Amino acid sequence: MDYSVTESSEESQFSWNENCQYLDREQEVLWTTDVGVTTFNDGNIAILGSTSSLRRTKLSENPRLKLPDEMKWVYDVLSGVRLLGKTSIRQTYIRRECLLKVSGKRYFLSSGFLSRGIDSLAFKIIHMKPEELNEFESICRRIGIGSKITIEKFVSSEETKESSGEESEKYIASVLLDGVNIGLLSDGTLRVLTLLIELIVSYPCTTTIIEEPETQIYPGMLAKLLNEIEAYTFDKNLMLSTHSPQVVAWTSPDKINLVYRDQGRTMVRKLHEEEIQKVVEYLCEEGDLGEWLYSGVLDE
Amino acid sequence: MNSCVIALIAEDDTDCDTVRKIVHRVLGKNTKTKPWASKGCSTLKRKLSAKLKVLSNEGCNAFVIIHDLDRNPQNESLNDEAKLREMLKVASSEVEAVKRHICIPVEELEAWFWSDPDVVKHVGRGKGKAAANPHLINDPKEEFKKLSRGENRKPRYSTNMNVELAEMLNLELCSARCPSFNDLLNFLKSL
Repeated sequence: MDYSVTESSEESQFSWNENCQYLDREQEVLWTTDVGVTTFNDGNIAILGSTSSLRRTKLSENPRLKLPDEMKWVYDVLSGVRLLGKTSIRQTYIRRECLLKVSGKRYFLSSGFLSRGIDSLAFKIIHMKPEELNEFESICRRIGIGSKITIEKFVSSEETKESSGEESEKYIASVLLDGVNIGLLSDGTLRVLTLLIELIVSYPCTTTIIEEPETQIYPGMLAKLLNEIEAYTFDKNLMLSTHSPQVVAWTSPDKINLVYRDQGRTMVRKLHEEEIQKVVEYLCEEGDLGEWLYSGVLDE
Repeated sequence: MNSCVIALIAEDDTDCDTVRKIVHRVLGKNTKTKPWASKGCSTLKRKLSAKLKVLSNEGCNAFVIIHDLDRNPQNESLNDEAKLREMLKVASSEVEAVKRHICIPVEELEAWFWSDPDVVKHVGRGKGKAAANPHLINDPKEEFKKLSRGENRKPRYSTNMNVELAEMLNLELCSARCPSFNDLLNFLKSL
């Protein structure tokens, strides 16, 4: 959930298009979003802003919306899915200290829209429960990314006089990893911190999807990160997309789904039984799963 | 100070780091080690001979080769330990005049940690019982994950914790309960 406040927030809220439709039978369209304005197929209702509000509020129970029962099922499924994308946390090459102006449960972007990912990360760390912060710190220590997380809060004397409770609490905050401001950390470190924090503090879910965990992370750290991902998604569904032989080697042949293009269409398939037999032999005698998969053996 | 330079050869980095911690506890923190994690069992077998030569040229005069005794994926039975040991022995025989030890933990090195009640309670946050015969535990790593689940059902154990657990481990107790660990400890004490 994005709690940030910015002048461009309103603009970004309306800068996407989507549609929701059945893929079978008549391929009936349920709604269409055009530049952030969603219109339902009967044309009677239009919604401004994100359609994610449909699943967060009681809008779907509004008799004028008439959403089909399948949508309830889809929302139930999606509410148990957590997607951790590969988008760079810092979307600019400039590194700046992150000093977050916090007001209650909201914050103002510290150094522009392109650093909002870092601001969001800092805000999540500031709002962690003490036991979560301890756990986060101990994982950082055992994977060797850092040993001490410090949260600094600066409250101006004027605001101290005005504040009467937690809701109106205002302060400037910074997060330091081993004394280094979070805004100055490398892209790889930020990615690792972001993935870890999502694994530790987010709501319980049944499926975690991680897009290219290898992005921005060096092989030694990736191995340790994969160990943590394995632990924190134990007994849950985990889907990883990857181009990395190291990540492929981390799994087993029966869990691989190959995604490929065939005659202009994207196809997905599991390894055939005979392919699994061959790869098991290869794993015993020759090398790892990553080497096998990227050796060209499946190119035909 | 011990003058040995010990090569630590294992299938992954966490195993190398764990055994390094054991080496330092037995021989002192100044003991030099050179790790090589093969990133898989077949690579370890295939490259062992060549890698031993490289490590020997780099000054290693003792070798510890760690290889899990895996289960056969088709029938879940443990592989033949004698056969694996012989294969590793042959592959490592080309480097002469060095002290070497082949360590084969049953299934996974994590079985060692199940020998110590304090380690088990640390992972389980007060829960869990140590095993008198840790080598009989099926999938010790997964059992630690189950044990480490907190109130929110998320497991707290990952193999990255193994170095911390090796620091805590009661060496005598583990030695008494795990033959593979006992042999490793005797080898290290002989250096």
